[in-house]
Amino acid sequence: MQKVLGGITVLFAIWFLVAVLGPSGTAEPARAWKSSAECADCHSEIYTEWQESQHSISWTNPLVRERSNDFANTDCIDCHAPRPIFITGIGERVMPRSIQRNEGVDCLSCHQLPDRADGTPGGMAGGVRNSDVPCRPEERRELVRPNFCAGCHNQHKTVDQWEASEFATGMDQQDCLDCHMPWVNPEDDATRHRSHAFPGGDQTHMLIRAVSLTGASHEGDWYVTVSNVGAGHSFPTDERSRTADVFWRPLTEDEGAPWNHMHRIRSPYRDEVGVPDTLLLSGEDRKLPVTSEPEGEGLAIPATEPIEVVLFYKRTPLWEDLAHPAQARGAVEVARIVLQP
Amino acid sequence: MRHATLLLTLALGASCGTEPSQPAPAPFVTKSVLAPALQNLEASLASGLASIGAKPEPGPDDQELGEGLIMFLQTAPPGMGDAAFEDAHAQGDVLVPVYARILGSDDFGAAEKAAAARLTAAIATPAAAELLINQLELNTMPSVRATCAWKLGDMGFDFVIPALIKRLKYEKDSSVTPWLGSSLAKLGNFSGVAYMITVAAWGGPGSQAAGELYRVVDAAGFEAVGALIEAWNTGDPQGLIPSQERSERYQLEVWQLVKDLTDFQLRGVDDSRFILSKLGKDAVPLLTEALFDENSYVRFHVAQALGRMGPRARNSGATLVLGLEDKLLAPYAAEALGSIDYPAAMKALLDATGSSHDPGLRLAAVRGLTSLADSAATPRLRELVLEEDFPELAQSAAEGLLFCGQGDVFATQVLAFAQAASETGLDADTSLNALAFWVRARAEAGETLAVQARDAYDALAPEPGVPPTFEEDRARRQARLDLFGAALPKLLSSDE
Repeated sequence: MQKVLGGITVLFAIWFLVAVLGPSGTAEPARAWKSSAECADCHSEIYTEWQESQHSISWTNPLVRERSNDFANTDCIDCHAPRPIFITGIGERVMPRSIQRNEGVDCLSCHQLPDRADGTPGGMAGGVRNSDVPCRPEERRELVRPNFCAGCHNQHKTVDQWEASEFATGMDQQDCLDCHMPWVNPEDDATRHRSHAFPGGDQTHMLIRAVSLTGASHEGDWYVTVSNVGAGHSFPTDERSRTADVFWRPLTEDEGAPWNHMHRIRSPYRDEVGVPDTLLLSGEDRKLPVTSEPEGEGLAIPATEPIEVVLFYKRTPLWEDLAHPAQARGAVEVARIVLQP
Repeated sequence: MRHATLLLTLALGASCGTEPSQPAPAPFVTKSVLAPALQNLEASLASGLASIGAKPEPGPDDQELGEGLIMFLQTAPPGMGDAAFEDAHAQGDVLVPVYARILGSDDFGAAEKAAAARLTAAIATPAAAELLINQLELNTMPSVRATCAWKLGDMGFDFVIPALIKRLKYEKDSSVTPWLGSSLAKLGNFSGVAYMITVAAWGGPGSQAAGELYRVVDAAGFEAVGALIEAWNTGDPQGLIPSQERSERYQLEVWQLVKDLTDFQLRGVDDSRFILSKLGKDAVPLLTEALFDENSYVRFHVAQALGRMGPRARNSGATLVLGLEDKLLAPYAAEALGSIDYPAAMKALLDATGSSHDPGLRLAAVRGLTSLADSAATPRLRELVLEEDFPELAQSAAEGLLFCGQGDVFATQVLAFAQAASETGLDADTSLNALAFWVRARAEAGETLAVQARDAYDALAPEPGVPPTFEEDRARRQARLDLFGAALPKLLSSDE
């Protein structure tokens, strides 16, 4: 009988401690999340930004689907529909997920934390801690470090390129977030947040800010200098399909007049034997002679007549007609200059 | 308060006694597998590998002899060239650097380089084979690469198999590919036959590619190429393909490929996955062992490679079932179990579809069940198809039901899923395959409408041997969706 009474006393004590000292009971229970669409209920502004980003279409982007043959090349899935980075490891290579691949690089890819040891959902990484909401955000500073992006974006050495640049080593350090996740409403404490639109090479203003094109006469011939003045990594970077090409032609009022291909800035595919890597390093100035044939071949063009020079950026390396680059699918004119004698 | 109630309930439950608990399944224990395997093989092969690295330095006489043999080979009357090969063989590895220089030099033409490759092969040492592998990858002249591919098969070293497979992935010249396939076949690996078929289709029945393909099929003891491919892909259950004893050097190459799976850069990982998935049954025991490795990238990529190998990797099934206990490996193991067609995994896969499991594992398990297409899964798939808050799972379950013979009930649902998936970027191809499977079954039963639908579906297939463009693939998918959209109501209301 004493044992029974003792047991009841212990249970009562436990009940009392839990009832008095336990959580208030107002918190919504922690949930497991399957889809980023669920995040939109509370984070509609950020969700809308993300929907405009390349991350949101990393699976559905027609260009990507074309290059991966609708992901029949399953090797592309790892980065285009990754499992949560906090689960596979920060700075480690990402792994492919099986579900909701059409959401691409989604909220969960970056924010979902591993389950807790007791199997309950681990919550989300964020800028603040809040145990009252179902996503249970925790403050995790790893989110803002370049290494966080490395699992995918260092596959083509973009983070390495940044680490070797003045952007990482100089007095005025700038990292991935400074350019690609700028502050939105920076003056308003209530609504200030990092943009989840992730502006990059898909946005012309980012391309224009990254490179400059200048030219001058030198010893009687035309020279052009293309400079990486604004990117904290090579230009272009990441996917090898991306290319920037410089063209020139005699100055003309005929917008349809043919161009001469002058220089290609690109890292070759792995099966392109003998093709040089000509990515423009961060801070690099590349002086190019204007010649009758591409890549400095042929005759030098004398600086006696005005010429026009243009830099195009493209996310696929093939040009249908090098003499008319503006007509190529997806070609973006980044810079154009006129050189007068 | 709810915590207290729970505690009370638990305490009362404990006091009233509970059912004896089932013994927990043996945990999947990872260990160091890759490192000791590499260490053991490297130690065993140490002297041989060192000799490859330490090629003798050729003197002026060797240079002269090496070039002289090329000239002799090019000018000798038919049948007399053998003397050059015998001389090269007698000289041994000292000629390897001589031919390496010639093969890499701009001063020699394609014919001289091809002759150098043939003489290199005649040296018949591992170092000579490595030079041919190097040139197979780097030489810009297709005729030289073709010669390297051809002679690597004749040399008989099985450790060159991975290099030949890797070249299958990158080779763009149709004059080289048949020799890759044919050399692989000589070494007991038939993964290049499908590539040979493609090239032979371009050239027609009288082409050299077609001739080489017929030779491969004949030498393997088969009457038709389809039967050979079937035997290779299904793991040769009838034992028609001679089994291979692989060398320690081959095993070392396989483990090196497994090690490459741990690289950060995906480009190396992609190559490794591709090569491993095209190896023969001989590599399956090694890869099965690697499933236990402590490195998570090794475990999951090896599971992927085994899955891509298909039924050829069926012997890894028991270990993949164990792998369902490993949280990281589980979804990849579940899909692989279906791909390798391992029916004994049925119960484990059904268990993995339980709602308490991670959604990724649940979906992978349903995909595994769909691949197994065993009617024993039908009751569970019928439950899962109702999970409206998890459309991908429901879609995959519906597809599985079609493969399990439930098409008359679920075809409409699968078509709806396929149409939605096609619009949202999810997988519609498996749904189309499931619908085609159902229509074929009805066509084989003699149903006129089904025969018409099947024939119309097949008529949309790409031309054999012509890789379709992305636009063609997409247009075909849409045309097949439209076809089923029109045919389904008639098929379902048919009295036949």
